[in-house]
Amino acid sequence: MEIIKTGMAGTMESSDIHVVIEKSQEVGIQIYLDSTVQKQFGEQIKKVILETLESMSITNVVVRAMDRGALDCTIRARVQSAVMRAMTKENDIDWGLL
Amino acid sequence: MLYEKFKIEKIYMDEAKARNQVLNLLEKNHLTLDFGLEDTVGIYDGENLIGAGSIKGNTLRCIAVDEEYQGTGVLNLLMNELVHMQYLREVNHLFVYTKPSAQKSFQFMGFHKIEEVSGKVVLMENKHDGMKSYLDGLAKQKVIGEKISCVVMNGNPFTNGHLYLIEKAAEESQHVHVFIVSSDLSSFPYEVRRELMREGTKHIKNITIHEGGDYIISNATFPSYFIKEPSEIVKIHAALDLRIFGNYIGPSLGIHERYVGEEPYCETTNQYNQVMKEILPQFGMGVNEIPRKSINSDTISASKVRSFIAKGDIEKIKPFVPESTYNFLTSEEGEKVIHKIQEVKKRH
Repeated sequence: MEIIKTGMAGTMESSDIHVVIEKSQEVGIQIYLDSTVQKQFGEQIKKVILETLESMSITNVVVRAMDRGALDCTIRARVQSAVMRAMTKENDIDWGLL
Repeated sequence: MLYEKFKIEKIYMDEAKARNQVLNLLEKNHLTLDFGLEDTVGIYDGENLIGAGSIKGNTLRCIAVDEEYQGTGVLNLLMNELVHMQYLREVNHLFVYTKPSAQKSFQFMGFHKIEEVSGKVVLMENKHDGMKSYLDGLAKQKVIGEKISCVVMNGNPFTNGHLYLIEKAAEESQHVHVFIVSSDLSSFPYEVRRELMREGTKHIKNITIHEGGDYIISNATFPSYFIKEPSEIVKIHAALDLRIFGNYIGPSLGIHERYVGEEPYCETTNQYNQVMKEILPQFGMGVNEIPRKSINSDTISASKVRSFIAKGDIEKIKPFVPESTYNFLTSEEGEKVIHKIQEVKKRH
């Protein structure tokens, strides 16, 4: 799965998460997270982001996420659409895989 | 939610009514309208403009929210829109200049502070690692020596004056880092300026040419809109730029001294030089101001060269520039740039 450009999804509204997916010069997944509930759920949010990327076979990428208290399902959805946009495949989604 | 009734609209600044609304809102927030804005959006509550913001290059500017609506999510709405507009233009590395009092709000929007001129202005970027990755790149080209120097120039176009400054620095130092201002706001495009500088300095072995990038005199990010006295603008911008140089760029390359050409003509550059002498020593760096080189008691400057170009006196340029620059000006590609300069001149 190839990241072609920067992909972005979500907003900075309450209960949402703003996710930016960027190409990485390095190997591996790097997550920068700002969250209003960092102390309570920071680790859980990172885990959901990581699992979502893994399920889409994304390996080398930088994720910048700004969380405003989003639920796990929202986080997954935002990460998925940011990744699809980054691959320029947003009109070509295999729904069965998601 | 309260703000669901607000609507977001693009503002056309050539419409008098909308323009006045924006000017009013900015004035209430002690901001002024910046020039050269590329796009502006507004948030409306009915007919009332309650928030406005603009984009220019890779910056977000003139961002203001009506006092009565602050803390209601209007800034969220506005920032979402501005970031999204930039995203559609594929500009993802964003900068915000703001008053220190607004720093917290922008931090909440995912911006990180780079540098501050106390009480006046804060520069922020939306990447945690923006500055760091730039510096990591620079550090790879670090040269160790007793005297490492630096020159920053626009080179619009590269003249014998630029060459003289680089040669002098190279003679007196082990190594010289030359930064070319990369904002494309000059009559000579960045690629041309870089090539002419490379060609003109081929014979000097102990220099490295760098792209100035976003962090050195990037004209696209000239912060002017929130400063009341126009004369203050240059000073504050210069201080910010030089603090970034002193705090980050200089140390990452181990620079001891910065060479600058004396500036008898341009007030802005002269002021920049003066501020440099105040600020860089605070970071343990020296400033070496070199008098202009002259030919037949005629000082060399790129603006003089450009004025010859505007008048079509290409022959008169010859003594002022290296052969490579002259050859470029008489080439087919050079003629295009000359044509452009002459066109602009005609319009003014």
